[in-house]
Amino acid sequence: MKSLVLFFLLCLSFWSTAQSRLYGSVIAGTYQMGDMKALQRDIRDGYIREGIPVKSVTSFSASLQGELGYEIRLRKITLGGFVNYAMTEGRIAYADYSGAMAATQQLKRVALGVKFMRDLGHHLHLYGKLGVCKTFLDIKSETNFSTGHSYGNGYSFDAVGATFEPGVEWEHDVKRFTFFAQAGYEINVNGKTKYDDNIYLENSNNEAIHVNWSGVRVAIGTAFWLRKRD
Amino acid sequence: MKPFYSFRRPWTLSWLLLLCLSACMFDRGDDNFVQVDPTPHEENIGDILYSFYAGAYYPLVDTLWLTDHEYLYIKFSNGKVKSFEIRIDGISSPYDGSSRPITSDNLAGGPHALEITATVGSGTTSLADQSGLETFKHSYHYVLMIGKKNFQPQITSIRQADGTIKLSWNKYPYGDFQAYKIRKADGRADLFSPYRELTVTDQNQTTLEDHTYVGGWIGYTLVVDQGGKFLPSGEQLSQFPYQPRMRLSAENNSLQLSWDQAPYYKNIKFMSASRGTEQLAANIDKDKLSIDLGETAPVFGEVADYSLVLYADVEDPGKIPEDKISITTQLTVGAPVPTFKDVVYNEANDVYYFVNLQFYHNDFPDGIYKLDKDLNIIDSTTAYSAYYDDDARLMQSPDGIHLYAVREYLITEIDQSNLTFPKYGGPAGGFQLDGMAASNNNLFVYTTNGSNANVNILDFATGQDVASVPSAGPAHISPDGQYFITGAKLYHANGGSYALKSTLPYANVRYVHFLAHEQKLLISTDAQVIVYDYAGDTELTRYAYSTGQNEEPGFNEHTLEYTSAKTSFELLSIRDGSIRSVPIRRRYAYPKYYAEGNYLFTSLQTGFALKLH
Repeated sequence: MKSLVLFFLLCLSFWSTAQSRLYGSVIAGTYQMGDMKALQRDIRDGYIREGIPVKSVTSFSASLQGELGYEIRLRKITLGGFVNYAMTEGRIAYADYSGAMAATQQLKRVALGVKFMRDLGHHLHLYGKLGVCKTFLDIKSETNFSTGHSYGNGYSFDAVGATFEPGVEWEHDVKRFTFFAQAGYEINVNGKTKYDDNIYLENSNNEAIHVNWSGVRVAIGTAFWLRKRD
Repeated sequence: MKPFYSFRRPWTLSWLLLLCLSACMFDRGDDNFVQVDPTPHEENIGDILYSFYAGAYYPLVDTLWLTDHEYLYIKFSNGKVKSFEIRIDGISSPYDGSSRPITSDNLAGGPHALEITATVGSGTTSLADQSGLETFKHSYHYVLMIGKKNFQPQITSIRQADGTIKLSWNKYPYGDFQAYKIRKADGRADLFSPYRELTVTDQNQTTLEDHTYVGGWIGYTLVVDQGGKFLPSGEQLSQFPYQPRMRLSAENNSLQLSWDQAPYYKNIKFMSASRGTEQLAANIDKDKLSIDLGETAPVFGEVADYSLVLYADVEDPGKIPEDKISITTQLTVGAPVPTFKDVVYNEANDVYYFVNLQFYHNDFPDGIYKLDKDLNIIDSTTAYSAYYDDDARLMQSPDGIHLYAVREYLITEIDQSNLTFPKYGGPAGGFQLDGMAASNNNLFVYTTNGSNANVNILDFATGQDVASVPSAGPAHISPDGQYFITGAKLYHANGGSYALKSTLPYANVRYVHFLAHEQKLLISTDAQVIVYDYAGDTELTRYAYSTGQNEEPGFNEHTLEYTSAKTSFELLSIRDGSIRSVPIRRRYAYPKYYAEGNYLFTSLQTGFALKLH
């Protein structure tokens, strides 16, 4: 108990002397999604075999992510935590005068983790983000006819994984705000994409299909210092 | 006041970057809208097929026929028909495509309106078409006839013409026609024998050239295909004889086998020829009428079996045995002529008469044939018969005016203009055919059978014998009827009878013959041939020439040559005593050789004639 009290006091003294800030950023990301793209091709080929000449109109293209975080700066070291939200989708579609159909694989991810930064001077920082994430996959198909008939169906899956992103951050301070830009590369691994505890997504070779958010990250953001800086 | 936006303001720069990123990041692509022609595809309507008893299906033309207790099924093909409805006389039928066929139940006899409405996929390839939701309806209108048809198929003619066989039949008049099927099979075979089927799908076509016929008896049956129901005619048996008249001839010291063209030559694909089991030539072109065997010619009478095989011009040879016809004939060198028992040459008309009577194998019908100088048959009659096949003999008066035949132990005169038999007469009971002869005035010399044989003179006008003397050997009568001879005994007319005039000084007489146009008598003995003046009772000439006891000698009035067959056929001219020889093949006493007119004749399974040069 004494050691806990001692650790709390130490943190309090540390907090009382450190500079901290809240930040928000918008991140442009690209994604590997190799398994998802293969699954999309399988779905597309299935429709073509049935005589519907569908085409892949979106194939897990780059998208914007949002991130919020809290950081504490200790001289040249910055420690913090973040929460990140990302989404992308694959979509095949066909339409003519008689109606339209589309099949989508919609992916959403929430990541939670810690962030570390080291000041390199000249407003530059080396950073690393480490976190856990959960991905939600919705596979849906929908057909609408000009006669008013429509039908569709969908299935939802999820996967749990880990993420690590090293990168470089450039900062510019304006009074109590700091504007920053980041560039990095996210390495992401996920477990099986599960429908429930017993059912998970497989390809035609009975191999588990994995979500892979790995890709380049470029971000801009703004941080607000909670105390007026010296 | 600072402007709201300025590139010098960091947040302005940030938001601009954000806008650009947003524009790039949220491009979801187009919807892949494809221009598709919405016009329905008429070809998807498809064809309606029907079947009696769910057997084979046939295209529905315009009429369906149902008799009592019959039922039929409908289905579609070659289209995208998703479902269909049947209405009979405007009333929806419970037909469901399989378990409930169309029946004649509850339908009155006669015509009914049959409407079939199909729901057809549009075929536009649009999304709705591919999903099966885009369809259109198409209606078909037919006549459903309830009742029996008044029709019996019949082959009305089968004839040979233009190098093939032509068939005609009566037209099937109803609208459920599918095809005429002409089945041909061995007419003597049973129902399960293989048959060839020739199909005509044009209802208006009622003739057909059967290009598959190459001979033999064929049974033709016309079957009208009414879509799974078959209405047959009776079987029509037909045969178109082909006597190829195969013949052997020596051309340029090489043996040639030749034959006449088949009347249905267009039906032949190719031919082959063989001798016995030896194949002489294969794949002979159908238009060829001879082949060169590259051999020296056999002697006259040396026979072998020659076969000519005709192969029908069909794509599936061997389906029925009649695709291939083999015609086999015994051949020797010489022209083929009718099989015969006796032959005479009529110099006055330059024609040959044959009498044919064969109780075994025979290529020609029994009867009497008249052939021109080139041995073409110019007349014949089959109104001729005999008790035995040896009971056939021709005789003519020396002047050639009267022609006679022995028929059932009676002498019958033959009208040479039409080969009819205007008069019968002659001796009752048996008599020898050899040595029987006629004069110019209707007198006959004949010899009765038995150990106490007599030579008799018959008056054909009265049918009575006018003389009868004991036989002393072969007999003959003079052209004027005033003389007759038996052996060496020469008789002369004396009032109403005959008296012995003289006994000639010759022994072992084998043959006697009064010349037709000279008052001379030819007598052959075992070693000599003598020419005798019977009026002056003087020997004129004699030649050394042996005649055996069973050699069947003869005299050719046309060439004035005496003949007696040995291993070669020797002809002795009584003019100058010269002898010419024709090699022959002689097997025991058979066959017999005849020198008549310009030919040497013999008769095997076919008759043959070798021209004497």
